[in-house]
Amino acid sequence: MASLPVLKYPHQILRTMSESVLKVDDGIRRIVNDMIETMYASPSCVGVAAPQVGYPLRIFVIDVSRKIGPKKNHGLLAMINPVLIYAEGEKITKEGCLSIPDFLGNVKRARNVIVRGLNPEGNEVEVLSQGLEAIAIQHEVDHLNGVLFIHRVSSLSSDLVRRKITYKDIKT
Amino acid sequence: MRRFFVITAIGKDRPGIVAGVSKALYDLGANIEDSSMTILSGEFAMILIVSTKEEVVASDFESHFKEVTNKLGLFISIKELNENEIQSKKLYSGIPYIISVIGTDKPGIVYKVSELLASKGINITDLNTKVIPGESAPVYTMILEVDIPEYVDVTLLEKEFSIIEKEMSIDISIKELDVLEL
Repeated sequence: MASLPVLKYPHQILRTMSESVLKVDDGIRRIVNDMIETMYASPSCVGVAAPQVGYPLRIFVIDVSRKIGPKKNHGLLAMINPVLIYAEGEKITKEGCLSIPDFLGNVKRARNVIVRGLNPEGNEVEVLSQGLEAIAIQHEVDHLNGVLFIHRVSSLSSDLVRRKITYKDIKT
Repeated sequence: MRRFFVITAIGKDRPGIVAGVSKALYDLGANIEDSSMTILSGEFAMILIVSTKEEVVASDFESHFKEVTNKLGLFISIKELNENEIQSKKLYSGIPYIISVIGTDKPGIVYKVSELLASKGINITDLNTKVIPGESAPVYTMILEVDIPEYVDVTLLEKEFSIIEKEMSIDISIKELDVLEL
């Protein structure tokens, strides 16, 4: 396993539609494992989509238990060819993205979702998810469609919060 | 080497202020590094951090801004940031929290809340206030984003807030800011 560098905007892969995985094999499982390691390598990261680490494939890994503990989520969730088959409710969450560092924005998404896809063993699974995990799933599925959260920020007034940046960062 | 300046501009709100100010900066070859703008009671205010080539000095801005200040009636201030200010690392840190305050409008709400925060070394990173109509009297609302340092006991802070709540007849709630990093 290896932690991979995270691509940053304006890398082209981040704005393209990722391809479905045709066969879940050891090569795909290696990518999944590298994505998991990449997620865990970043202290506050709770999800990574394959295009963020350079693979334009429909895969995401999520683990919101890192942030909210074991309740109301499935812990580590790796999914291949995910499809949102149901969405309901509304929830506004302040989101950030490793591919657009230094920006946070309030995004309105569905509160509950059902996502269907393949697990790393290649078996079809269906997951009912709520709250922050459901938000994370929608953020990652957006990545697979080349959509970035900055385009989903719902209202401007103090929504886009600057993270603390240093002028040193600007200078370099 | 680039120079950095902080610029503020205030004036009656109208279309064309951003375009006018940014055109002057563009003509000067200045790059806008960061900006924030707001409108209060019809007064438009903007603060900008810009960087320029080394040979640009503060007085160069004045001549470039002449047209917009005359045409749009803007008050503009320009201050150069020295090397130390530019290089400085973030001075305050902590866990982001959101504090909501609501109560019948009266003087002292902002002061009492911010004084307590300051006494604990809690830095306010964003603050928004609004007076809204109430049943009998106007109601004051205030939303703050703060960074609470690790050493601050949040339970104790809540207790101290409850003293202010009683004293000022206001409601204060505090919760950790949900930020999802993906």
